[in-house]
Order: sequence, then C-alpha cells, then structure tokens
Amino acid sequence: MKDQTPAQSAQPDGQSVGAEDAKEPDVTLEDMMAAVARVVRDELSNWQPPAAPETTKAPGASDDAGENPESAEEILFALSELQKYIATSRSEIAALKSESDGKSQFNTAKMELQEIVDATANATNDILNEAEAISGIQASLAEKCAAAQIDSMADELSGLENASMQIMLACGFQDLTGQRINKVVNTLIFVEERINKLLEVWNVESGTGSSELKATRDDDTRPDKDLLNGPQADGEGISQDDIDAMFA
Amino acid sequence: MAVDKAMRVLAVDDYQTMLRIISNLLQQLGFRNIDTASSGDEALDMINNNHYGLIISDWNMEPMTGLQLLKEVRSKDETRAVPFIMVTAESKTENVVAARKAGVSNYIVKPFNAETLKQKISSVLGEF
Repeated sequence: MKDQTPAQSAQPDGQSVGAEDAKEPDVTLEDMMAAVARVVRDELSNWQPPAAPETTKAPGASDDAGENPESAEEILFALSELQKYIATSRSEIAALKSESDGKSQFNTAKMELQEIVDATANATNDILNEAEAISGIQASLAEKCAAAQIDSMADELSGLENASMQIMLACGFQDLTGQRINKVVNTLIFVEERINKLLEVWNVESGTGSSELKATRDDDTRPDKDLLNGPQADGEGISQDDIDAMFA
Repeated sequence: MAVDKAMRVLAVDDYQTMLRIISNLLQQLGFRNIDTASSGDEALDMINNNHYGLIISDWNMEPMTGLQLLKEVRSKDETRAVPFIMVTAESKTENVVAARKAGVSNYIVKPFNAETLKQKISSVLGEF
C-alpha cells in the first residue's frame, strides 16, 4: 500500500514468517568442520601407502603413491583454511546482528525512511495550503476586477492562477517519492529476511553489530565526526526550548 | 459535445496530496461538484450511492486497487458506462494493456500537467 508506512510494513525485528517453527541447529558448521578435520587427521596418521603395482608405468604417468603424503598435508591445510574462512564469515555475519535484541540497523533505516516520507508530506501540505491560498486570493481579485470592470489586470491574474496551479502540480512529487521509498523499504525487508535466515543457519544468537545507522563514512577524517549524527527522529533530539533553557 | 461542468466527479487516491491536486485542477477546469475518496472501498461505496459523470482514480491502493475498482464499476449495469480515467505512476505497457482490457476510458501517467488532464477529460467527455 502506498500510504502504508515503512515501519508498519516491516516485520518484527529478527523474525521472519515461520521462524518460530524452524528447528534450532544443534551444531554449527564451524563445529562440523573442526570434527571433520580431526577425523581426517586421525585417519591420515594411521595411513600406509599401498604396495606399488608391478605393472609397468606408462611414460609420463605420475607416481600417485609417492604424492599421497603431500596430498594429505594439502587436505589438512585446506581444511584448516576452510575452518578459518568459516570463522571469519560467522564473525562478519554476527556483525550484522545488533548486540541488543531491540532495534536492528534495518529497522533504524526503515524508520529514517519513514521520517523522510513524513517530512516531505508535511512540507508538501504546507506548500499546498499556501498555493490554495494564492489561488483563493487570485479568484477574489478576479471577481473584484470584474465587478469594477477592470480589464487591465487580466494577464496578471491569469499568470497568478497558472503559477499557483503549477506549484500544486509540482507537489505531486511527494506521491512519487513516497512510492519509490516504499520500494526501497520492501527491498530492505527482503534483504533483512535473508540475513536473518543466514543468522539462523550460523546459529548466531547475539551479534556485535550496532543498531545505529552510520552517519559518516569509515574513512571520514573530520575530528568531530563522532558528533555528526544528522537529523533526529521526533522525540530523540532535544527541542529548541530545551536548547534555549541551556543558554538562559 | 460539450463537457457538462455541473456533473458530479469522483477523484480517488490514497495520497491526500494528489487528491488535493486533482481536486484543484478539476475546479480550475470549471467542475463544481467534486467528491474525493481515499481508498477503492470508500470510492465503491460512494459510486453505489451516487451518480457520477466521471471517475478519476489512482491504481496503486490497498486493499482495493484502482484496477479492481474499475472492474467493479464495469461489472454493474448502473455504472458500466461511467467514464473512468486512471491516473497512476504505473507506466509499464502491461499496466496500460490490463487497464484497457478492463475497460478504462483513458490513462494518465504521473507526474502529469494540467493540460494533459484537460485533454484526457476532453477525450472522454467532449470539448471544454
């Protein structure tokens, strides 16, 4: 629905349809890989090369028996690398889940987008009110001019009428931007659901990520970048009255 | 045929801003009896209880879309012939084809200007 707010259309944080029915995995992939590595290591420690076949080797053929110990080392190395890769991936994915169970970055992003929709709607309504007021004044002037049989202002009145109508039409942007923002929110919800599935698969219960949106880039070198948080949602920042009180 | 500006016109959109814009444009075009509805269901209720000479509706609304509203209007003998103009951001060919199949009288893509609205109304109601 176009006028549905992103916040209204969002799934509860960290939940997806049917998530409560999903079976909780007992072991993680990391545990499984470690177990596989142990079994392979044990097996290889008891491994003996088979007796060389008595058949004559074809010219250029590789000596398989001679390469096996090296292959075993390679397998162990590969498994170890895989284990590290899984640990890194798990840690990266955990960073997508916030430390607290409250807000996620996705929810915060959706709320910010809703703020955009609300702010543009309010501004648009204010502009429309004024455009309608101008239109009313123009109509009143036109009536008075007609009553007084003043024709010399016809062009100006017509121009005023057209201008107020153009302002109103331009306000249509709010409808279109609202629809586009809803598309972005729906995409965010899609990505959030997939990430929640990943978190489930990796058995990540609590992550290391922040619920705050990043207001500045990582490579931002401004010394006061930690103070730059952008506009605040209603009720989160302090009011002008509070600021005035601090200066009183 | 000239447009009867005394006819009752219904504008339907779930965005209040757009509803106000269309109402103002219709007033500027000289229409004096303009009703507005902010959902397909509200519009259908109004259509069933009033006689409209023109319906101008958005498409993307919930739960009832503009296309569903159009089909409802076209399904009843009393409202089958009411001119119905779709004003929407949906601008894919398949949208226009579906609306035409459902019997839409004309189709306006947002954003639009006053002249476009006037032309489309004129194409279904006659000269201004």
